[in-house]
Amino acid sequence: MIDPLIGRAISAAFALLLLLAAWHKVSARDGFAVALGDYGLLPEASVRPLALLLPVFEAALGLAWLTRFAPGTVALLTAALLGVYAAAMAINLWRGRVHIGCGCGFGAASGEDPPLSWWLVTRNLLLGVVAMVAALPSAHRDLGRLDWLTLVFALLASAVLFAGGSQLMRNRAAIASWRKPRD
Amino acid sequence: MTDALLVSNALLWCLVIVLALVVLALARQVGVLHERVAPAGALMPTTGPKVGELTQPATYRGLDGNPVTVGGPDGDSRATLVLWISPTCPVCKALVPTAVSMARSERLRLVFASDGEKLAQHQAYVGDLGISAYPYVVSQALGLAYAVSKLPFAVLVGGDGVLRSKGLVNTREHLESLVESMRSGVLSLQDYVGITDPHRDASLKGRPT
Repeated sequence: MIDPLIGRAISAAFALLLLLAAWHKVSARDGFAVALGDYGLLPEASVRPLALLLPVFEAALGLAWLTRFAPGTVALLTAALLGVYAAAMAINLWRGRVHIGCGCGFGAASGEDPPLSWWLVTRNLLLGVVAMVAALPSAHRDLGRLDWLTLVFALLASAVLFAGGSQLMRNRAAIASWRKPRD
Repeated sequence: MTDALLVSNALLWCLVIVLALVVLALARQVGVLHERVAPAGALMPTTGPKVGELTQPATYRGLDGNPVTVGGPDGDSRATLVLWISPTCPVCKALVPTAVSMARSERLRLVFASDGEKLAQHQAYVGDLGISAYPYVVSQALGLAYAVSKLPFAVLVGGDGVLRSKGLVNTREHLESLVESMRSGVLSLQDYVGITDPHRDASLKGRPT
């Protein structure tokens, strides 16, 4: 049993995350298609359609989180999507293709995509776990004015911390690129 | 009581958000610093043995009387960092702890070198800096062998006896650039910039390396 406020906070956060991610992928769709192709996991013909389909799927999930439509299924689908992303990154990290962009660059200062790293895989897996928490049955409690205030503050704080984390990953990549000459 | 909790809760939330913003701002600032601060390399003289040449082993007498060999292949294939310092050079004094900590973290064999007549002055200097654990050579011949003209000067000899890098070192960055140069096989900063971004080569030409 979790408190309804926890479920609400997670829903709102995932709605924000998925809608922003979808928006980012649509607004930079050529870049995203290139990043997706770089992963080298898909036949070439399917890269472009999928580059358009993924943001649509993300946006639909985001809207479902926002309206709390079928919470259990949506949480599962979101965790599955994040898991697929993490697996795609892990496969390319194993292949040694660390130089390709992750296609997930938003939330930090404008700039290029951060390159793949195990941090990104960990981040996605953690996000997947958090999504599953929202699928747990929640207790019934009337939410008061203070709860809504907490929700807004918690959302703000996590958004800013997420951006900070993304920035740190980017810094790490920048430092690493000085250390060894690129080929 | 409830009012107090409410106020403290709201206040704490505000502080959390301000803190998160500060963390974000710091992270971005670090990112900007990495973009803006160009790496510094040690100033490399054109005289003396060239980087990539095999050095000749030569044995000198340390300040404590023990023989110290510089150059040539090393028994346990550790790289040797020779740092020329002098009791009359203020920058050297600041650089010694840096060299000691770097030698420890990079597993380098550290040798200090100097020249001059008054051995007592050197002994006091070594005691003052607390570097009696490292070989300290007072020899003009060693300085001449590597064409040392200005202090503090450092050379890095690889475990195989090949001269890996050398230069005038004033800061930790300069010292680290010697190790970085050995590890990456890139001779100088100009070479590095030329490899990574041929178009930016011109803008860094004026920088000492």
